[in-house]
Amino acid sequence: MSLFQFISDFFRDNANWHGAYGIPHRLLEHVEYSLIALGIAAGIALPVGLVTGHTGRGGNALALVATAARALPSYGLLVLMFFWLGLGLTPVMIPLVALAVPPILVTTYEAMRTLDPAPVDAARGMGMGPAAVLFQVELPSALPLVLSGLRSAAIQVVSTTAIAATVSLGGLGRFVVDGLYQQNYTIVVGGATLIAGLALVTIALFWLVGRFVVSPGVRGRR
Amino acid sequence: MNRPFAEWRGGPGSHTVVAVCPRAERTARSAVRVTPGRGTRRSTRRRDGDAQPRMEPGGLDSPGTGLSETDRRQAVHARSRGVFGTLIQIESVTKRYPDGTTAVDGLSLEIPDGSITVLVGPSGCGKTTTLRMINRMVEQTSGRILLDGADIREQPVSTLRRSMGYVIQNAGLFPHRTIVDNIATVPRMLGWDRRRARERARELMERVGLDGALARRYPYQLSGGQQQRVGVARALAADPPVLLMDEPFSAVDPIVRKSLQAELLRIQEELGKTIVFVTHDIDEAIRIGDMVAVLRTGGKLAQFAPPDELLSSPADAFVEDFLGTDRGIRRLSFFGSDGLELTTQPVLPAGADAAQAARAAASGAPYVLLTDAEGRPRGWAEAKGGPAGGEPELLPTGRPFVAGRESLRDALDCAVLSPTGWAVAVDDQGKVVGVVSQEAIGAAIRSAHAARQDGDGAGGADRADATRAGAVT
Repeated sequence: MSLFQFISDFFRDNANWHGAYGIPHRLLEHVEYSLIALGIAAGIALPVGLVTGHTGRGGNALALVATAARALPSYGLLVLMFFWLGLGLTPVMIPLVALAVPPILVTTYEAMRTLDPAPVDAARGMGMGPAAVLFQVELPSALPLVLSGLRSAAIQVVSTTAIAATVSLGGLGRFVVDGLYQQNYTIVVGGATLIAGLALVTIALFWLVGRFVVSPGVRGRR
Repeated sequence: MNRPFAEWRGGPGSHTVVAVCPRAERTARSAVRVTPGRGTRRSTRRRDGDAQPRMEPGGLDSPGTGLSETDRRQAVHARSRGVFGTLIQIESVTKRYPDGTTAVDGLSLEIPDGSITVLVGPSGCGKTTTLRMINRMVEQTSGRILLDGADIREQPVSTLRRSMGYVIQNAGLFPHRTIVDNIATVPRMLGWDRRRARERARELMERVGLDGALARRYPYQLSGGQQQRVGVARALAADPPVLLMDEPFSAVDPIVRKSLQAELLRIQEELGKTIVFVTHDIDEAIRIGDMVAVLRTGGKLAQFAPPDELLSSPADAFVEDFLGTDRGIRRLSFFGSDGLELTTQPVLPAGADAAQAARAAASGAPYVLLTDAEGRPRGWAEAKGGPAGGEPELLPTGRPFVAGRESLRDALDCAVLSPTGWAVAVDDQGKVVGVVSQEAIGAAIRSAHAARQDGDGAGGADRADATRAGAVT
């Protein structure tokens, strides 16, 4: 059977579209895990990246942390955390967050570091306070790079969330894991296709968000 | 051209400088429209019925021009010597960095109200540091800075900065905001509603010579010169009394820089701000400064004087070296050409009869200037050959100078460039009002110098009066 045969069989099977084991439910689970992981990662990496980039301090330590986190094998970390913490969402979130933090952190830091210092100087000279300078001048200019960091983190998280299924959680990984176990390659290929599709949708979403929140004055330049 | 500033307030014959409060004085000055251009503006004084004889023929007066540049500088100078209050006082301020380098060393300056004070010097002389201490972007190590008599540290730093426009080298526009929103930044910070702030921004675009069509554009779509104009407009948006400008025109090409300088002078005539301007370019300092502070490496003041005085008597070898060559020639731009003795004898209008032609040829000048029907210069013809026999061969006149409005430097330049050695004087419409020889210009320069020297001896506020007395021959 060809790949396309698998795919069309999977999506045409009515049973795959209903109930707790159906595509919509699994998709929602997958999106939920991904959003939680991305949210936590952004909550950690954005402020740290903004502050270190703004002050220009701690760049070396930050690079070290990012490299170390990147070197961590997600699946190995998941297994370790599973044996340590047992069933639940936490052992899944730890490798996913560890995966998402470095790209957000590094690009945010770089975005802040490479900003033109002149507008910042002008803003301070006009009497803007530090918070106003950060949110009204620096962040809007740094936004394209910051968003690109978030985007690569999101794509990696969406792809990797599939491993949640190996420790008895849901998500689109379920199709892959269960299919392999049942030697039902239609389900395996269908699940993999869904994950890839979701990654593409993520890219499209970020492009759309960029259109709306990034000023044309900044977009036109990069 | 060296009249006391009391003159244009008090009228002719008034020989004492009347001390008025700075505010009233500023109003009086802003009421007088002055045309842009350097060192060459005509006074309205003569139209008021000047009783004093001048060394110039009649008919030269072009109406409607305002207060002369030299008058304005003189007034500022008088005030800087303590006749009037100063707005910003820098009192033995020192800035020393933790690593031991001294950026500014015991600097004291009185920056006069409502005028342009330029800080100039080589790199590392602390000029930018000095400027940044005025709005507390840099905190001084010792000494104090007073604004209208009060220490600048007494008010919150944001309030202080919002009362001072700030213009920097690359404009520093916010890339994510449109031009109109860039300009509206400070009004918005001060709590104006968006509509009013934008209205004000558009008004300022016009004031700095920007096309209103650019309002919705983003900074990256503008040229460097346009961006710098936006920077100036943004600094002026909330109408601050003080404007701090840190090498604002250094990053644009010389032609744009010149037009930006002229624009700044024009805006200053309208608004009368207290401007502190930092530059490393001594020519820029001389061109736009009412007062120039020359700083030397290590942050020490070398000389603080009006540009005219700087050129005529540099305090020491450092200042002299920094000023460069041609000081004498450059200083001539501070002498108006309205003292020049023009003659109309060698000028032959179009359609003149033979008698007129003979008179022109016999005027003693080696050449006769022919003009067209509109009175514009056509060219020089040799006086000896006589213009009687057909169309004579004409020598080009070159660039004429505008009598009264342009300086002795311009007049001399025209004479030097002219193939006949005679400069052609025209009025604002380009009509010939007379010609003048190199010798006559040389004589005018000598008497102008002599007049200035007499004035220096008098000192103080009535110095200018003495100068004028010397100028009357």
